[in-house]
Amino acid sequence: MKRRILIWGLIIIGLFFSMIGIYELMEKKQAVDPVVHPDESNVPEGYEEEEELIQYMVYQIQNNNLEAALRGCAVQELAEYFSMDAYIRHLERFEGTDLLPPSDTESPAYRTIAKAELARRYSAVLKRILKIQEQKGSFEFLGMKEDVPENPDGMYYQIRDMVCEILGSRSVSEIIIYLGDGAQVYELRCTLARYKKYWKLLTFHEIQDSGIKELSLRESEKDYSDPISLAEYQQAVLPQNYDMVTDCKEEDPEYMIRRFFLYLQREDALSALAYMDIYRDGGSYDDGTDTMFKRQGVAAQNLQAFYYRILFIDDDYYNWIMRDLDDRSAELVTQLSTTNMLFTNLKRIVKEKNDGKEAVYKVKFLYNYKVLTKRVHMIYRTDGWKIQSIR
Amino acid sequence: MKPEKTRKKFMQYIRLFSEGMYLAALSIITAYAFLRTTTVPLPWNTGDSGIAFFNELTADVPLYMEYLLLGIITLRCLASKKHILRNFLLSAGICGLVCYTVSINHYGNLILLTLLLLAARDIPFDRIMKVYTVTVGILLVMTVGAALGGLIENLQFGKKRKMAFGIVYSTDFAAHVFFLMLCVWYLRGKKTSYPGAVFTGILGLGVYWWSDARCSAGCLLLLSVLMAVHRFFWTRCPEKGEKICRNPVLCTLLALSFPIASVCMLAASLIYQESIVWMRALDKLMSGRLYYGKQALSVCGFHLLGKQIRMNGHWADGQVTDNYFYLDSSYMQMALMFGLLISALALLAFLRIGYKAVQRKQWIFLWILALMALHGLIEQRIWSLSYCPFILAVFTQLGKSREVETVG
Repeated sequence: MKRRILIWGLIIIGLFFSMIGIYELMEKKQAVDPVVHPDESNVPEGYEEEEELIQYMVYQIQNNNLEAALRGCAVQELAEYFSMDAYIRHLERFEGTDLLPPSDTESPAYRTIAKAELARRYSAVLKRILKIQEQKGSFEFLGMKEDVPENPDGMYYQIRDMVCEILGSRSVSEIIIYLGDGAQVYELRCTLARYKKYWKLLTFHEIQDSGIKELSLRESEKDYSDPISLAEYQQAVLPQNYDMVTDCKEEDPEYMIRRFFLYLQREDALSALAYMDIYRDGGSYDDGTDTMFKRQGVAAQNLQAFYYRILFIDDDYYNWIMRDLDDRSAELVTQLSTTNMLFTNLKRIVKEKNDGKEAVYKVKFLYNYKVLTKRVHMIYRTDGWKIQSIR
Repeated sequence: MKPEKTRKKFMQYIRLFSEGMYLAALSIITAYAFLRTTTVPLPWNTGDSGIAFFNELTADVPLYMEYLLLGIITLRCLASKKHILRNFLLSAGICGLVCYTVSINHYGNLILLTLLLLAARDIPFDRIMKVYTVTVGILLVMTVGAALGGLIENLQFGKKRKMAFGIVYSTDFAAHVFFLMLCVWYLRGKKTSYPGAVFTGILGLGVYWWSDARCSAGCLLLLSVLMAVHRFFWTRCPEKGEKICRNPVLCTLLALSFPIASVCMLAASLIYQESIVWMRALDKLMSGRLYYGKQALSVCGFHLLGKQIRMNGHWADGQVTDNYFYLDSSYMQMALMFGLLISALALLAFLRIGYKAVQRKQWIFLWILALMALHGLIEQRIWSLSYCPFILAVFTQLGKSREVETVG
């Protein structure tokens, strides 16, 4: 009998783990593979000197290589270290989805969303620079200098400390890049931020100005000097700092909606993004990279808006926080934590329209004993449905 | 005296000394853990003590006990009669695995529990149960008395005003009563009387009436029936009783109650669908255990080393909250929070306990394991020393088969 107990016991334990194994296999079969994985062995992490980063960036701009230039921008770093709590405390404002999502709660979903949005913003401003360069012919690199005031006062350092606290960087540096089009010298002002050992480009303007999309490029009175060769950066490459999601579709729209919201609950925004209509018909991620960044960024912002709407389902609580924002910044950040998605519940999916080409489904969520209704707009592409928006 | 005899005597002293230390440590840890489940305003509960040094000292009691237990494990391994190296390596291996797992999943209580069960090697389980039962029994009676006397807070919950009698929650109180009665039945054994069984039944009705704890109440009523039936068979027809107890199917089911319950709970959570009527009804009966288990499975998934899962009761951090998510089932906690590695260790531990119980003909203990396993479907008490000590049996001496060891 004792031997029987052992045998049966081991069988039952085996059954326990077999069930888990089968579940995991089924889950893996259903799961999407959300990102394109670059092969980047032996790629240096970054540049430890500001000069090296600037020269790298200018070289990529000269060669119209938007994607390579994007790799020098602080996409990954801002996504990982931007402190919404510090931002609100210091600036006493909260711009909703126009502001980067917080990294304070270490949410993987917000990190993905932030990277997508930052890639969009940086690629937009880089595209502007490339367009200007196109008008002027080509930019030559004439030099650079650090922009430091002659007698910096306490306020100067205070602002820099505040910026570092908000950005989560070790230090910031304002640089003036001198570019020439053969006749005229231009000053392209930029701000760099240092994360760990490496410098990354933060903005193409001074610290005082706000917004990544702002561009400070103006004519300079400096004399035209000999252009500096950047040939050494021909083989230079930095690691990919953005995600490019794959194109995932499902035949059954209701099933896709369930999986989509399950990914959002799991804080797996990448897999959720893979269901969004980014590629359109016949598109690929090579098809005009900045276009793809723009679409991906818009889709990511859609997810961010959804997260904010459901996590702040209680309007009274939201209004209470907004009334005294600088004191309640930590509460706002905590409320926005995507770990709270564990407490949400997808109650019902109701078909409003489905003509085989376009579909609208009404979805009800329960959170905090309140119901949120959203409409998921979908479109049928080639061999499956894609999500266009959640409104 | 010959050197060999001296060495044996010395080892005997070590074993007895370490056993005494273990029982003292168990008493302290049990008291500490129990008091954390009460509304008694202790420094490590409230952090309100004006003496900062005392606060720090009491907050570190589990840590000191862990160091003490490591010492006891070492002593008991070195002083064991046989397989010294094997015991040592096994203890070190299990400790290392659990510590590494806890570094990932952050459920620190697993370390103390592991050290306690490793340090209990070859100690008669009866002695452990006596110390445990007396400690918990005295504290529970004092807590209830203090709550009823107004000395500490007697919390009440919900519209039904479920009472907790000095414990932090009403179902926690009911669980204390249930597990204490299991311990009492283990110790009383064949001496359990009909009045004892009736008293257990009354306790079951009492916890249902005052605390609205259906699971513990049901288990207490079942326990009272088992006590009475056991008493009947052992007094009126012991041979028939023995025959029933020796029934291979029954023995196997009871001995494997923990693994069987694990499989059942996991299977039910995996296949659960809200759209199916009978499943919804079953889930309602189990107060949402299947729904939240499924939710946790879908969102959190399985991990080899476990994962910290954020849980909110209805009264999270002392405030009423509408964001409820709790993994109440012991088996789902084991699988999802503690991880697959700990799950394997726990399943093997209870398999060993069940096997030993059959080997030593501990029929009452088998029923106790089954009731514990049943209770674990709904509540998460198996992993908490303040409620359930039965996992400590894994390396102990079950029954009275070991000769009493004295010095001299």
